[in-house]
Amino acid sequence: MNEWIGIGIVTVGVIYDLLACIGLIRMPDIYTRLQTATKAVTMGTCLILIGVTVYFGFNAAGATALLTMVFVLITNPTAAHAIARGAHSSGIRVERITAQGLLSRRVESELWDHIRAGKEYEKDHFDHMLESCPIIDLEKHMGRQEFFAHIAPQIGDVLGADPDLVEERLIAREREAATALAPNFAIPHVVLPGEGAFGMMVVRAKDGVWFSKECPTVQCIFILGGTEDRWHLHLRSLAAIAQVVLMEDFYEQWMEAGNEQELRELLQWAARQRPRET
Amino acid sequence: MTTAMLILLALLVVSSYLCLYRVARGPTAPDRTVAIDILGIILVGFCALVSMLTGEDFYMSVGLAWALLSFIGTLALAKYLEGKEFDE
Repeated sequence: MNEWIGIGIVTVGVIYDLLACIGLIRMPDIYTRLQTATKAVTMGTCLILIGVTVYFGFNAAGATALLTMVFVLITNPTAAHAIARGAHSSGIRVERITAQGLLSRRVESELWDHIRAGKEYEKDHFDHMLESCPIIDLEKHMGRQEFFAHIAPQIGDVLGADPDLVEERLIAREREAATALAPNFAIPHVVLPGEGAFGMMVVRAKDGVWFSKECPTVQCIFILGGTEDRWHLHLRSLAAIAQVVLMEDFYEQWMEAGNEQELRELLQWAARQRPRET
Repeated sequence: MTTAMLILLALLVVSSYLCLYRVARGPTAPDRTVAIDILGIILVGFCALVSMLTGEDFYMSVGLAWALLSFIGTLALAKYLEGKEFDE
């Protein structure tokens, strides 16, 4: 009789273990995997060991099984805690899991939404531009000419100008003096005829854009364009971009962002941190 | 009775393979560490089942030793993940 009760308990334990291992495969990130795997496996293995004790009764094997059970109960949660702490301090982020099919955003940006909704701050011209400017995530490595040809239609659309003219002016400006200011950072810009237009566009190029021999893989590119009467906006935008780019860890976060939406959120967040005149 | 035990053992082997899949796939070091930890605990259960199947009690002692070793190994790996020395 005891044998069959023991086998019954062991069966439940084995099913727990199996389900935990399926969780280990199915869960999206390390923290959720820890949560399914360690809890259910501790539970399952303890059940197996209880089953063994019931099966054998209190002889050598049964007593050892009880001892092992106590030991597993103490050590396994400790180990899980240590792994979670190790994972956290080695910089692994929490994936956003709820409603991942709807939007692929991180927990950080969701928190940022709440902060933004709770405290309305005064937006300046640069903040308004960031809300609507096109942001592109380039997939492949490009040369300078190819890059300008690629972006000219979009920046032309923002400015309401002819793409060919924009491209021509971008190349002409580049010929006058290099616009890649650092090995990973460039601000190409154009001045157009007419009046009343000013716009910006941001490009993240993971594989880099070739600007010059000194700057062969520029990964963060702000393109500014406008008419001559909006020159003051141009200077203010340059100042704002400098403040954003010089922010601590900006470049690492820039490379880590997953998509255009996250890039925009990062820029808006960084712009919000700028020191402002009161 | 023996058949039931063999089926249970087979299920545990399947679980172990799922863990090994996670060890192989990663993608990060903590993922692999979790999988190795779980693999150790499942092997303790495996030892207990083998002990039932054969009626030999020393398999339980193997399981106890394995649980101890697996715990220490996991702690060492976790310390390594934190980027610290083992005596901190």
